[in-house]
Amino acid sequence: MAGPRRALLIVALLALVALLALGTALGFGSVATPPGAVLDALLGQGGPLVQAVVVELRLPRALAAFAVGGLLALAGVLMQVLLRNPLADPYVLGVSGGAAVGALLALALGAGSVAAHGNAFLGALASTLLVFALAHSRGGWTPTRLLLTGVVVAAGWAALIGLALALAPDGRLRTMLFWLMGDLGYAEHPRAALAVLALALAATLPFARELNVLARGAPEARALGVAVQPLTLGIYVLASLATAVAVTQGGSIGFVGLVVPHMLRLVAGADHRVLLPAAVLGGGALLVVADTLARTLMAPLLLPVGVVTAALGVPLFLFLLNRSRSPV
Amino acid sequence: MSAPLACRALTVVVGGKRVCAALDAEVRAGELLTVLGPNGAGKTTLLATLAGLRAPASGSVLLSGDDLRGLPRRRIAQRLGIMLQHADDPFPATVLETALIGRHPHIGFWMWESAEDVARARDALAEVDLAGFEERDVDTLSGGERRRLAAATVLVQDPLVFLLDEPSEGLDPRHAAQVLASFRALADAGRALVVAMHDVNQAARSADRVLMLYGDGQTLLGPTAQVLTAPNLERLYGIPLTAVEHGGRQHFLPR
Repeated sequence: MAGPRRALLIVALLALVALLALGTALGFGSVATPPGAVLDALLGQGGPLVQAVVVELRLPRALAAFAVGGLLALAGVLMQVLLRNPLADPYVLGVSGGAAVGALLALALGAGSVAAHGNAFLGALASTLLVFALAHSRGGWTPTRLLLTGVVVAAGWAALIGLALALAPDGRLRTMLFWLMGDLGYAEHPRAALAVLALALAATLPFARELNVLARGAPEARALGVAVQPLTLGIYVLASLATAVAVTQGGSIGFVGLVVPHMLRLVAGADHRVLLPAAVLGGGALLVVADTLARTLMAPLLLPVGVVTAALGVPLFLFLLNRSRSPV
Repeated sequence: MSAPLACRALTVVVGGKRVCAALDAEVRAGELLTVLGPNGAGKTTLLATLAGLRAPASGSVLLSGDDLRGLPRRRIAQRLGIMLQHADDPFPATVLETALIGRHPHIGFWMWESAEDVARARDALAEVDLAGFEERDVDTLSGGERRRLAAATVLVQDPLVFLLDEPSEGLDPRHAAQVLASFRALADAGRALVVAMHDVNQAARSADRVLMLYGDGQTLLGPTAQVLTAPNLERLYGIPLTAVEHGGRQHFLPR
């Protein structure tokens, strides 16, 4: 149990980290911009070139990275509670597979990025509905049933992804592979994603204590007065939507949704009243930093951001896991 | 005033097997009713039905006169607590956090646990001899300690009606006696308790009345002294038993 004061402190600290990450993202790129110049540009002062670079190029991308990271980490927390499985991530129920199939079909046929994004969203929604209908068909759904259905549907999508890659013309393979590894290159309209992120957090936060109870299992939660069915249905829909929006913006960026929730549990505890806002801030910050590194490490070459999130997250997570006394 | 917990013409069926048929019963305030029966007779299913976690085949369950079907889960949880048989935690949590979960139905939607809630949780942990374990991770507890933590959680919930599914399972003799004494004291303080268990001699010591589930839909309900007899128990468990008089009380030993 965190207590409201400690919760506020943790969230405030993470908000600071997120702000620092965003500031760093605005300062680094093909032209390094000192902090003072970044601030000037944000306030509408300074040279037009710096303004253009900071406000028109870097800011949308940094905000998109924050939104995608926040959405993935939030969806990860929700999926882990819904499935009562620490290994669950936003993609475990096949949402990203459906999105990838939609996007890759569009890319393989030579469609532009707008069509690819639209198709990705449709694919994610189709996958969500498919898994829900299949898992729901007879009697209620248990976490295990939902998980198995999702994993099998995801395997089906993986086969279709393989097929699309095998049949695609050579010239388009690189774009397709980047999409699969996660790429924020097309994420230039962060407003919608940020709005979804804010709405998702606002919708889940009031139910944070109920999520604490639900994490102990559906029978225990019902016995303690939680209306389990509407709650789990709401979580499923919301987590799927959040994932769909994230995947549409940035492709299948791995790692953030699985590991950020665990890192934060190790640091801040498992109380969802802290964990939900912390996941949004922590996931967002991690992806902003990862994307900045992806842009700058081997500039002018762009690295897939998914590779960087893993490169950053794996050692960080192992360090935290090693340091903590309790087994996850 | 209506009894805290009552069932009317209750028929419970699990896996095509009858647990009880058209059972009429009441658990009065201040009373501890023990449910006895062999494995698979449906003790857990009956408790789940009484808690409204499972729909009966027919009949109804009344909580202080209100039909469970008409009550929202939160209202039920404010008045009725159930200690389930198995609880596992896939996510890390401390002992104190776990005990505090019992306050959930009593805390407003937007509220945090108050200092009073924390004090209640600490008291309950002390009651089951887990004082000093507050910050331990639940994963590090032994099976018996987890069982005591589950007992503490339902104590923290502080309902009028307690449904306890084998609360002393896996406890050493001292802690089993201690936990059962705590529950007995709750009955004496005016709460209503239904306890499923296997220890016939503990039942003889603590129960006001006994409900026997024979596993074929037949049941026997009555005051402990009348129902707990060697012939009834032999029929219930299918083994020969000897009743031994000691300290003014009957003890039952397998022959």
